[in-house]
Amino acid sequence: MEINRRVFLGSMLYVVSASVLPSELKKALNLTVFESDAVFFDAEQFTLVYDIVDIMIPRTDTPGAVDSHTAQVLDELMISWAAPSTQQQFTLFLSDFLQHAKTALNADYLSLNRENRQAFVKRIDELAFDTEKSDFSVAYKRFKALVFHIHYSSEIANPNFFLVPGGYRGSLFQNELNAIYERKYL
Amino acid sequence: MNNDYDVIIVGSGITGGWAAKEFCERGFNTLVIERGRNVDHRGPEYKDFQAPWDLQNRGMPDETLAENGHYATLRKKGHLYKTDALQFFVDDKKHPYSFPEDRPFMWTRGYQLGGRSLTWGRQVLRWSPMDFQANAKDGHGIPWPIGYEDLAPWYSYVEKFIGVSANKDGLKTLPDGEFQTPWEMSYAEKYISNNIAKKYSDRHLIIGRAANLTSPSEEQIALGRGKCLARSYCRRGCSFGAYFSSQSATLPAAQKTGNLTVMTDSIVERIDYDDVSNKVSGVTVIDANTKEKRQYKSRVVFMCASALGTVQIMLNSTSKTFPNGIANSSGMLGHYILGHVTGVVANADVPVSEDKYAFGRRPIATYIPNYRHEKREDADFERGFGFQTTAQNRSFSTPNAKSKGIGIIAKQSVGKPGPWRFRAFMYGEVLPYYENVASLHPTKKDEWGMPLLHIDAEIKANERKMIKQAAKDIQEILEAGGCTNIQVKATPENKHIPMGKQVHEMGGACMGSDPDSSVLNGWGQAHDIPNLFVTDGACMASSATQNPSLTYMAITARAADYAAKLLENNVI
Repeated sequence: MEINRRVFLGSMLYVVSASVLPSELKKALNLTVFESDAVFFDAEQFTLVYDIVDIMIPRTDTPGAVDSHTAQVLDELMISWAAPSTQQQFTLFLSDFLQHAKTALNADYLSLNRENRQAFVKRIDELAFDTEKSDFSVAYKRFKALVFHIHYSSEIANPNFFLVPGGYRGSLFQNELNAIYERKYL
Repeated sequence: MNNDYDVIIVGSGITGGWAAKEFCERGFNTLVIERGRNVDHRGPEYKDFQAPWDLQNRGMPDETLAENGHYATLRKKGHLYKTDALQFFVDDKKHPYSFPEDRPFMWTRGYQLGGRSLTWGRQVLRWSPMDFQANAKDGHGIPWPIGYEDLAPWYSYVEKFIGVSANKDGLKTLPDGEFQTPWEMSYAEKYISNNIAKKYSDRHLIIGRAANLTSPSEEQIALGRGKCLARSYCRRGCSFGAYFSSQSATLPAAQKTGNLTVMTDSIVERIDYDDVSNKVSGVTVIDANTKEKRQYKSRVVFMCASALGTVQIMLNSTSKTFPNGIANSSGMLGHYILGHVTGVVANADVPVSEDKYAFGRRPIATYIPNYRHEKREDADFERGFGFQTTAQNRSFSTPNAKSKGIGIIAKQSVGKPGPWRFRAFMYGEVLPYYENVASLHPTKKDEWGMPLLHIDAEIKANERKMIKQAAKDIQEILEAGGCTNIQVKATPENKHIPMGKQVHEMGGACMGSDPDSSVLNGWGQAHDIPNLFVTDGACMASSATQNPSLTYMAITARAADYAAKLLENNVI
């Protein structure tokens, strides 16, 4: 299965479904909540995936994971690419993630405000790479690797990618390179 | 279908395509037999117009393939195991082969029309006179029955047709040829090259010699081939026909004559031999889909099924006269499996003064040719090595998912220009060892009933010593090149280095002057059988350090010319 425009259109539908949620709740939590199940993940799992990838790669002066539809592509890849073992690993990771939050913060992750969610994901990231060798950390690292791969291989994250460069130049000043980028061909 | 031909060519890859072109253009009714499926030039299997985000699963093969043991060899190679060109590589679960458990061999194959000519590296380097003399000089392997002068005109002939973009470097270790405009070296590569030239007279960093068109000839344009546009997606197939492949060049040229028949999905089981006439009469094939057997007759058979594929078919072609494989009165069939070895990888920063960048994806690397032919004073090994190298683009900071860091700060660090980084991979010559051998497995067969090929080959002490020296040399070369932060990694002595990893497997039916110690004469013609020729990698008596395909093509064109004359004169 190819990840294509269908995924993009799918993401638009998700946003529509989220838009019918109470606006006060959305505003308070700064959270996009999905009511419909995605292709692989159920609605709650997908809400969590969407939030984590947004925290991992936020929109700044360049597009973030939301702009590259990373969550939607990941959801599709769970069907088209992932083996059952990975599907199970990621599903378990998401439930463990919520459980870890509950244990550590005595609160539901999805009820936290954005700052606290960011802090929690950052803590999970640090633990995974600093000390922990648990199944949860292994799963987190795989999840992160996949998220980064999806976003940074997306069209929106590669504005200077040229399918047909037209030639090769090996010694250009910045202004010469910028001029090529502008005219979209060598 | 007519089953009688003048010429049967087994295999449609880089040498099979050449044999087809040559015989068809000489007016011979020619049958090319390919074991794999048909792949149309510019057809749906080409993925050269897919951006990274268009690739199936973003380039990642379905995980269940690995879980179920598919593509074991390709997965070990890593960079080739992607969905951009997976269709052009063989799944060794479907097409198994065998090797000793402690000496794994990596056999990378392409079972489709065009074979590995669709996915090859396109680095086309002539051998030097010294390379052909090496066996005779140091006593390893079977002396070559031909020298550089025999092949030189055929190198030129092939280069003009395929199109080679290269610089005339004037090196006696790497003779110049018929070249189109070379690719440009990057700012960093020029910096290193110039610095190396100041210190050494024998070591050179040159631009690679690519079978990618930069100034297409009229003949190439007439075949529908265009200029390379620096996409570097060559292994996906090139809709522009900008790199040389059977599909883009030789097969269309053969097709134009009206003398070509191509038969795909047909596995050659054996070469048929007539004990009375002492000639091959044709081949027996197994239909890959129905498994039915058919026979085809011809006056001459050219084996171009890739080195190990050819050896497998020849070993399986037994008869009363040749109970151990056809044309094997010497007992040498299967022996002297050759290849290249990479045991050293080096990385370094290139501290250039100006803030420069590169654009485009150049389809070829740079190269440091073997300089060890005559530099023997510090060598405790035979033969030598070169380096495949590159610094074609400036480095940019990439997202590091393998270390901690998320959010705005991690994101801000992505995409910033970094230093130019130079990389070098050693390519060493593996000595010809009689005991590096391919044989038929005594019991295991594939689903078509063909005995599996069992490949028992390894590098030895000479190559280990070579690796040690290559590590020292590249450190010194990069220092001379003005590099900093030099990191050289040599494979430890206790770590197995599989033969075949560099794909350049050769030998198994090597040329030689003596029928008692070699399978083929200097024309690629079997000593034992005058109308049987082998011109793929199997015919090689040594591997040198250069990428071998150009030499295979030159040998094939030369052998086809010779065989055509024999046919024209009714000698065979």
